[in-house]
Amino acid sequence: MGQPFFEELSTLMYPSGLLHTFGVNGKISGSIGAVGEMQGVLPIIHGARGCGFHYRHSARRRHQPLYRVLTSDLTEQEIILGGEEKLRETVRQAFETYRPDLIMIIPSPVSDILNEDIRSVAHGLRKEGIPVVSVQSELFSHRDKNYSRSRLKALAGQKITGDNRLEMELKGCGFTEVLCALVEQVMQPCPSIPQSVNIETVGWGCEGRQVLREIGTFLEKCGITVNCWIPSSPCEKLAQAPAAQLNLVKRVRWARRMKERFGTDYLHLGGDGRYSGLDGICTFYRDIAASLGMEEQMEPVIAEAQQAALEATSEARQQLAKHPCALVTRSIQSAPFQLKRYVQGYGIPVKHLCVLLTPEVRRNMAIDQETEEKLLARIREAAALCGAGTQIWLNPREEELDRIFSAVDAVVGTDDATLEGRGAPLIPPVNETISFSFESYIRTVLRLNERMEHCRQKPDLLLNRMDFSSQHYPLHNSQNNLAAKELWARMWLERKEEL
Amino acid sequence: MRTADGCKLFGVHQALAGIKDGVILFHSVVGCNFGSMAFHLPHDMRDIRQTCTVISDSDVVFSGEASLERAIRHTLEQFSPSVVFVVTGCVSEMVGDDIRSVLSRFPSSPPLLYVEAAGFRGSLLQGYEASLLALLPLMEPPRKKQQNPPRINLLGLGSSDYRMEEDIQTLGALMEPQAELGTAFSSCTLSEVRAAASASLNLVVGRGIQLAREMEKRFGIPYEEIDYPYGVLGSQEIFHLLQKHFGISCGEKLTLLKERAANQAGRIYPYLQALYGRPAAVIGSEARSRGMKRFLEEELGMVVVAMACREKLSDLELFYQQVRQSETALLFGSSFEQDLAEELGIPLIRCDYPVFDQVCITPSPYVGTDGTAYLLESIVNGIMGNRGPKGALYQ
Repeated sequence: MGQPFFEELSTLMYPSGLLHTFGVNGKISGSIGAVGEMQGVLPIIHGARGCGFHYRHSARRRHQPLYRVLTSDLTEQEIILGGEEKLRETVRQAFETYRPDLIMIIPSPVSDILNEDIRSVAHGLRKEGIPVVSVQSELFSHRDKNYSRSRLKALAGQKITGDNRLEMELKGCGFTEVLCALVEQVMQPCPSIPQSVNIETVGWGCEGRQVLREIGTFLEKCGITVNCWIPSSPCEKLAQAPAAQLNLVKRVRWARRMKERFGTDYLHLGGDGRYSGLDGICTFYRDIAASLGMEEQMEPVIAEAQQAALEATSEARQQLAKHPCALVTRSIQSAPFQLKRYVQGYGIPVKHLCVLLTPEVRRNMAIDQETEEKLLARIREAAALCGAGTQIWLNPREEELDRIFSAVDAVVGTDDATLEGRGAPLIPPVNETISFSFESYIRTVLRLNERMEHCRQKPDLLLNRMDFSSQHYPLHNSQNNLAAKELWARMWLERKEEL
Repeated sequence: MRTADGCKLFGVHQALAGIKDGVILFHSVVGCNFGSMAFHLPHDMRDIRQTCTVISDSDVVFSGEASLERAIRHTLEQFSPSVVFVVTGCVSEMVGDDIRSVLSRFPSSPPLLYVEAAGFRGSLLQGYEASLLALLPLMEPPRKKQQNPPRINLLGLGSSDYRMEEDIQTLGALMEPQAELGTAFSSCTLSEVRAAASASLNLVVGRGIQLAREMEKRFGIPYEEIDYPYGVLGSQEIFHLLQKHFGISCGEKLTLLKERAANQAGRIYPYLQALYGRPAAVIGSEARSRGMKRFLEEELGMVVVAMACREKLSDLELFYQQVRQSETALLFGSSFEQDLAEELGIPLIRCDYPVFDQVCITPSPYVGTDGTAYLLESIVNGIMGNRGPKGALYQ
């Protein structure tokens, strides 16, 4: 197994955050990302050669390019006469050359405009014995740009003590479309395996691979088998995915499709807050138990694991409790759960919670006064629940920040280097790797304690000799960058709504 | 097919993104903007001067001209650029938006240059050539017939080429003081483009031949085509051209350069002996692959057993097959050839576009006096860095 922090570091060598300040990737990126997680699958982009060139290196494959991406290389001739025959020929040649387990045809905006019937092409080629499926575009070129704003509004309406499930869908990302193609063209009806689950594998954060193994092991302890990792299992295993009783999913639409087609129920793991912290991990396993009708069997195992986690972290939490901290966050929607985790989960007395909400974020996320007030109410609710006497600040002034920092032992929750050297050391959020496994909770608490013990201010950071401001961090304040950012905001967010 | 290089749009980006006071506005779908930006970003993450009109369904149905007009307005407002390159992609060309008509609505703005770049219409090379040619109308007639010292333009470099800035600076220093670097296309300002016709010679590093021919016709500037000037021989070729066109003698400089290269390389001479006679494979743009082949064979004594010019390669797989069937010990190419290197367990020396998995923030060119030493460093360090844990040799 690789070192998780190195894996994360290697993905950060693709500066995705920076690129997304000035643009978004097309839907093909998501499809390539999904295919890249599969075994023995060869993607063919039905488009011009440039798509087959640059999509090998894309935001959804940050750790490494997907080198083997083919293209049907549409030229002017196919634009006029249609490209289906060229696609057929490309698929035949690709199968002959590479003999993959499966070929996945990915549409492009060009083939969508041409209204190419790639589904029929794939169907016909399957009759020739070529294992090939086609992906169906959900949107024309790129993902739904209103998703983040709609999601924020929906979150604002939720009480933090409530159910906190949110089955919102990001349409047109390209990833889900590939999973839907698997459901419709690869998966086969098969006899059900009792007490079994499928787990969607992508989107599990820094220690993702490790956490998935830990989840698998814990489920096994509860008597639950993992039937299939979607989409990471081999194709023949994916075909048998409907044998599972339950899908544990990060994305919803493909799971709904699978439920309609095969009756497989699903549990959506995307809710912001429901599965946060140690309590959240227990809730996660209880939800699985409820879905499988295994509450009685699983409850003692969950309680035992929870108790063991508390014991393993007892001393560290006692140490952490001696250090008053300030929690700084730029995410007004996640702040309540961050506060809850730090106070209740890790035992850190958070004396000040500073929410930084810039005018740009207000505008880009369309946060009106009502939404902002709702989001702040959630934070106040969390602070009251935590009972740490946390003082809440929205955009504190510079002198207020200095006062806050001088009164605490450390600043947590932020990696804003511009805050370094201002009175308290920073413990960046990269140290918080809690996920859905008890082990990830233990690792996080122990690591935070270790960092707390050794943290110190770093006034000589190279980063702080560059032109950054807290307002735009992490973006460099160069004139071109700021102009490009503003331009993109106008081009992307402020143009007419779609659909 | 597995393409060995990009489409027309990437050639346009390579040619124009380096005009430092210009902005590229893609009238295209988001992927074209993002993809080209991702290749450019490792070179300077503080310098983003591109955006796109975010063509969507409604633009396809009702035309994207209104989106383009709005985008131009925003671009002029945000950047105050010297020039805006309006670059179309597949979708806007299929829709048939009347770009010129939209541009005519901005009569008093800085130049707005329309460059057609539908990916289905051509290759990276064609896009590059068309872009440089599109700059011709911006050039001002030369003021003086003879420049002293003579100014020499560089054509053919790409804005996202690995170590391009370092190479340009080095080539400039190489010519001085007898000659001076004129406009280095793909890394210059608009005023330098305007002044390009004052040069006395165009050096065409593989690409930009169409512009060079037109400049010869229109302004009487001769041109010379050269391979990428890796190694001492690359510099020697440039010195030879200075002699040929201007009677400038660089003999002393060449002697010093040779001595310095030998002295630097001498510190690791057993490694050079190790490279001698060993097989290597090279893939790159025509100028780069030929220049690298010359360096490897003539100066290091290696044997290039597989070579491909991207412009002429119909399918990358053909080159891969050629390399697999050879006894290649070292592979020279772009970041995209890493999979072949891994498959064969050999190092990849990155030298061709796109390089997105290495950065260069030191003054370490691959050409000129010190360039040979830096290139050698990359080769030797590449070999030593490629040694993973293998346990015993015969297990």
